[in-house]
Amino acid sequence: MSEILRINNLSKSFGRKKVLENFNMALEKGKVYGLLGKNGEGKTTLIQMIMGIIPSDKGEIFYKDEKIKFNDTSYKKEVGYIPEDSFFFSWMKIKELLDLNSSFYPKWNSKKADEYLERFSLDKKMRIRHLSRGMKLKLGLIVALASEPELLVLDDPTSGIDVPTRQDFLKDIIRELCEAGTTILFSTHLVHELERIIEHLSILHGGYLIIDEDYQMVRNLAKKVRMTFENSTPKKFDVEGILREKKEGNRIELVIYPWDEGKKKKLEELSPAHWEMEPLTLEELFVCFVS
Amino acid sequence: MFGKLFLKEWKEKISLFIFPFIGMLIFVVVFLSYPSQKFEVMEYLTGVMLLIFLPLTALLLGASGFQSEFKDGAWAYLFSRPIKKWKIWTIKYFSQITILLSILMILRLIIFILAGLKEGMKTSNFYIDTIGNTYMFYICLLLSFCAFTISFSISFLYEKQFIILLVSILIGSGLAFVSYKYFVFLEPFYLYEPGLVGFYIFIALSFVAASILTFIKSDFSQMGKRIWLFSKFLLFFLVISFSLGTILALNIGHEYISSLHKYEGNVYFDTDKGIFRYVPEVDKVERIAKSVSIGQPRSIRAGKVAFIKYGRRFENEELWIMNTDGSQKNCLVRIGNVKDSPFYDSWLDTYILSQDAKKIAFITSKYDKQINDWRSTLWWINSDGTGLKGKILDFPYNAFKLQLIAWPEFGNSLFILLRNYPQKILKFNLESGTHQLVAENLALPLKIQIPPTQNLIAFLQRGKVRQEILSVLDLRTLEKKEVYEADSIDRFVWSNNGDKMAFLAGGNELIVYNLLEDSIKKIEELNYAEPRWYVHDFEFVLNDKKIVVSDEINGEFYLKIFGEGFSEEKQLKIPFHHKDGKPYIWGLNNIVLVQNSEKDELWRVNLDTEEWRKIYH
Repeated sequence: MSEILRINNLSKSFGRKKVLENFNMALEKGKVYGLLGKNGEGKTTLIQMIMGIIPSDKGEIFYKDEKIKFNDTSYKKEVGYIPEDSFFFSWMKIKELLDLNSSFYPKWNSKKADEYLERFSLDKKMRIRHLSRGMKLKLGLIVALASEPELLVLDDPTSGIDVPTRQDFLKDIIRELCEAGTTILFSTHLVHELERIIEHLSILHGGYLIIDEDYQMVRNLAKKVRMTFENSTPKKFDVEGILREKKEGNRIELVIYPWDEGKKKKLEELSPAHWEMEPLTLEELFVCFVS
Repeated sequence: MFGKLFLKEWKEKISLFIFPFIGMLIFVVVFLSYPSQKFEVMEYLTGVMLLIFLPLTALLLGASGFQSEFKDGAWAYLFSRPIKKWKIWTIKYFSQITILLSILMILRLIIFILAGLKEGMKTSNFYIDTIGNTYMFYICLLLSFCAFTISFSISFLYEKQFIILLVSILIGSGLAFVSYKYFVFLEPFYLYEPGLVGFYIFIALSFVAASILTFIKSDFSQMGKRIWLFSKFLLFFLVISFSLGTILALNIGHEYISSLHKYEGNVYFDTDKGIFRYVPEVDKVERIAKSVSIGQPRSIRAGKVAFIKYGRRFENEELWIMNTDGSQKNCLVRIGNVKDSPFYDSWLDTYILSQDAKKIAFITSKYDKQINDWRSTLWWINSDGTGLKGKILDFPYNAFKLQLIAWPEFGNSLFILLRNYPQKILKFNLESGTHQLVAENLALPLKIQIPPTQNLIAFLQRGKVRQEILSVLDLRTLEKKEVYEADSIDRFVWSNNGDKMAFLAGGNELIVYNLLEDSIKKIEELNYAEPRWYVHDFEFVLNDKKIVVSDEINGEFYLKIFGEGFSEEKQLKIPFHHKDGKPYIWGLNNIVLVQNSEKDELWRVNLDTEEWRKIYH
């Protein structure tokens, strides 16, 4: 499967603070990528560099194998973008905003835009300043999807939205994904939202991607092991990849990544009285990786 | 896309019309409230609207250029769209310029309508002229354009509109002041206004260039870097602007030829680039001095030239002397701003070399608070700068009305023309300090002609009943002879050896007066000049044996040559059209110089070969 976006050695600093350093990433066509990271890790910075909003200090970005420079705009005709806060010109009406955007995108689908308006119960004549946050988010989605993008970039768009709206929003994305085969890069710090939809997991921490793997594979390779010992728990575990260790009396809980049979044997050699193993949720995984 | 973005800008800025609308409303009310006779009020009001209110509106409009992007945080939205940043910038700029122009046109229309509503078209014409004259209107246009461009160019650097306004005013007025001072430094006496306008436009365009480049290249998440980048670009483009402005001021600017006169077979003339000399023997034009005050009649005697130079360093006038080839220049006196000088706070208007060029005399005037009037002083100094002497002139005329016209070699006396009505000629004795009236009731001050011998003055006097009398005054004996009387005598010139004079009487009669024979000879009836002041010019040539006259025949211009006995010999067609009447000519033996004042060119024609050539432009 070919790449739609590739990032090589991207670096960005704000003053003395290094946000990203030699960052690498590749997005394959048609997949849903979840980009997780704590607040301030550089997710928005990365996305803004992809979208040509801010320049990088160093590095390259390729869209469909063509290098894109800071002021290039042609690739943006195929990229939809929903930022964390959908800032539009508040004085405009919805219709005016859609009309304006239709002039930017050659593949703009007015019919689709109208369909979404109806589905989201948005009136064309409403002024943007009168829209709630959820309504603005939906409008942002309409603007992004009506352009029929090949790559959809979402920068934490559901932050601060109520749960029903958020779940409704995610359902819509999934539907678009299935229908159009659009590549999606979904960045958020609300981890549990992505669990049902992502195919590839990337975790950004300290300016780097500490995880950049197929999500199912990560899930399968990340295990939570609970052991109970009769006497005291061992002081050391000769096992690599322990992300977290929690002791409580003679009970111990380990999160191990990547799990393999060799590690299992080593733990079994410690002769725990009781042994339990279960997969982690995405949220638990994320916490373990970044803590 | 362009149309939609353009429309978007108009819709966004429509609310800004409120400010100019209120201003115009106030203007209309005040204008209609005042009676028509209050010209000054009307003029000031219109001036305030055009020169203050509109540029202020332009400043506000420009400062709000990217206000919605700041207010709504729409930067990310805009830059994530597939549209080039320079397009965003230029569409915004031009759409808002059209808004500004619309406001300007509406105001202009209101002024026209108001002027028409006022009782009596004769009063309203005044206001129509004020703006319809377009001078003030174009100043308004320039100010508004510059104000808008500067404030718009920096409006994306910071979100607080008030700060942008303040910075725009500071930078704009600062640059305007600096460039004006610089321009005056380059062009100290003749301020070529289009050149200065060009300067201001270059500066405004510097802001445009710096703004577009910064907009394209900068990181909008870092304000400090953005401002720094803009400052660097702006500095770079301002350097280019000042360089271009300098080139414009020094080379492309207006250069007109003036103060031509003959001396010993050569012609000397001024342009704003300096004093030039044409030497027919080598057929060459050379600059012999840089930077002169235009309009000062020069004094050339005995191989020396006295001239005025505007002193840039002290912002004063300097009286200089040099050889006729431009060598051995020497500054004799500085007049104006040198505090411990006898000429401090004075003005100089007239000067003359003695016949042997060993001395120079000049008159300065200074406002005397004690007598509440101007006081004139006559000075004379040796040509080497020594022996300065002065005498207060006790006749109550300021220096602007005085002209030193002759300093003959005999009698140690100067002849001074008093230009204020009724015009007089005085003889001033340098030793005794007394003066004597030698002629009065002159017709026009410009009509004074002195032959190279400096022993006579020809002038016009008024007759009893609307006539003009051509008279000649002998400077040695002070005897006056009335040579000719006519309804009008429009021009008269001396021959090179001072024994003949040609003049135009009654608008078309060319007459020669022979001083030695005391005889009058009518040469020809030329065509009447239309309008009246477009009179023929004529000169004695070829050892004073012939006369050359510039004339117009059926819309074409010719030199008519009157030969032996002053009968017409031939006509030479002048190879250019001259809208402003007959061109001026100067005769140098067998060469005639013809001035094309429309294009500031000097042509020469060889009377023998009839060959024409442009020698200066």
